[in-house]
Amino acid sequence: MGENITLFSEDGKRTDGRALDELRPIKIKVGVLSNAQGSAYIEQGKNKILAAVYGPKEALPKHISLPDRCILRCRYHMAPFSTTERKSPAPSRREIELSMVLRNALEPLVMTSLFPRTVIDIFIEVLQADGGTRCAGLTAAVLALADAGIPLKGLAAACAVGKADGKIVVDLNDLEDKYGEADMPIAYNPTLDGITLLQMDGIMSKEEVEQALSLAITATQKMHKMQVDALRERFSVQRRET
Amino acid sequence: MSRSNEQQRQRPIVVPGEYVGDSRFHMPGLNVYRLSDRMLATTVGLVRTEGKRVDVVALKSFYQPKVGDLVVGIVKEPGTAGWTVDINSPFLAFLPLSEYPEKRIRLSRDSIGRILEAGTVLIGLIKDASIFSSPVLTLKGKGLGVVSNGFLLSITASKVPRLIGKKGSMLSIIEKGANVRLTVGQNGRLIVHSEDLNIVMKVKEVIGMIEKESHVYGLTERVEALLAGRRP
Repeated sequence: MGENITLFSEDGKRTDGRALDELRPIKIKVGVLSNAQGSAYIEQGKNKILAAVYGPKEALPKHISLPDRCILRCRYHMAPFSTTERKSPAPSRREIELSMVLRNALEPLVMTSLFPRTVIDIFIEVLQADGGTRCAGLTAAVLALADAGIPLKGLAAACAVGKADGKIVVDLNDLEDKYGEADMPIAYNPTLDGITLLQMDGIMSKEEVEQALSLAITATQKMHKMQVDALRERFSVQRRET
Repeated sequence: MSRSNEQQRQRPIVVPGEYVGDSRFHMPGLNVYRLSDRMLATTVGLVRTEGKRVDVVALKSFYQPKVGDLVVGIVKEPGTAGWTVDINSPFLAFLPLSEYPEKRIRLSRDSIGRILEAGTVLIGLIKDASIFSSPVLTLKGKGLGVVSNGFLLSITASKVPRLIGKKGSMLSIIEKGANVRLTVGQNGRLIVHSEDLNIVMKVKEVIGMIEKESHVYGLTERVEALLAGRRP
């Protein structure tokens, strides 16, 4: 932990001027790639993330297919230019792990039993990273799945909560993530009232976790509304200019 | 409501997880699932209620094979006892040799790959479909077989009923308007039986409109206007 770094200004605002429970500005667009079956783009603060979905399609090689449901394959990848110093384009240990974590978080949302013996490919490409990319990536991936026409039990949005300088904060940026005491990414599905992703790094007391959880649920509900609006906008007709 | 206002009006769009009805009074239909008393949509679409049944007509979907469906397929790979055919679905279909219309095939003389090459476009009928095995195609029947000329276009599978219309009304409007014959597969592929590029482009434009605007009132009028050369 950095001893000299202060994460709050004198008036109690965060490094980017936000209140404790305030999300970063979010911009979502669905259906941005014409070659993918479904796609979505999200900007959350300085994060810029693209998600694309292909499938369901025949699972090849055949031995990977399951007789009763489809399998999900997920690739979370950070572009070499997404960080301040060039990142090697080869998948790192962190990216491989996050791919698995996101796959496990997305699987309960997809009605996999409708497409036995098939596979759905999900690609999450981080173009610019500023903390909380797994959450923003998941939010975009869910929309890409919906855009591809894949039956889902509901939409889920994700947001990180954590502790910085002893205060519980919502939607951590890169600085708070690096120099704060704890970080807890959460994905929440308001339809089923269920948490589909929960990780934690750092130390928080039981009360703090409970407080963080309720803040995260409120924040993800706000994001869920934005997801719904983005999907509606994608499918509502843009009247032709004559 | 005046005509122009009505044309602007859109049917409401539901998204996955959105409430579409009470399961104590309704039955879940297409793209709807039940969660205790609530019925929720599984895809982005439009709600349609027929009696007790509530469906969500998907705005984007892929084809789920059903027995008796006419489909436009593309031969993917010749095998030992038939061909695998891409039918624009998550599942590859199988066309067995026995369902190929030619009576006598001498495998000693003709290899399967020479009878139907990979990439051949064909009009087939789904003979057998279940979630446990690959759908089976047949080419035996009237109007079925290999397509030798024409253009292949595509539309989202869930929009095929809208493209055909009630008793084929929309399809006949397009056929008359563009003066061309069309074969529409339930899998979202259609063949324009014409070599004239102008006609093909016109049909393509109309199909693009149906795909994008099927949930806006007054589609038929706009299609007619587009075919007549007037910008709707």
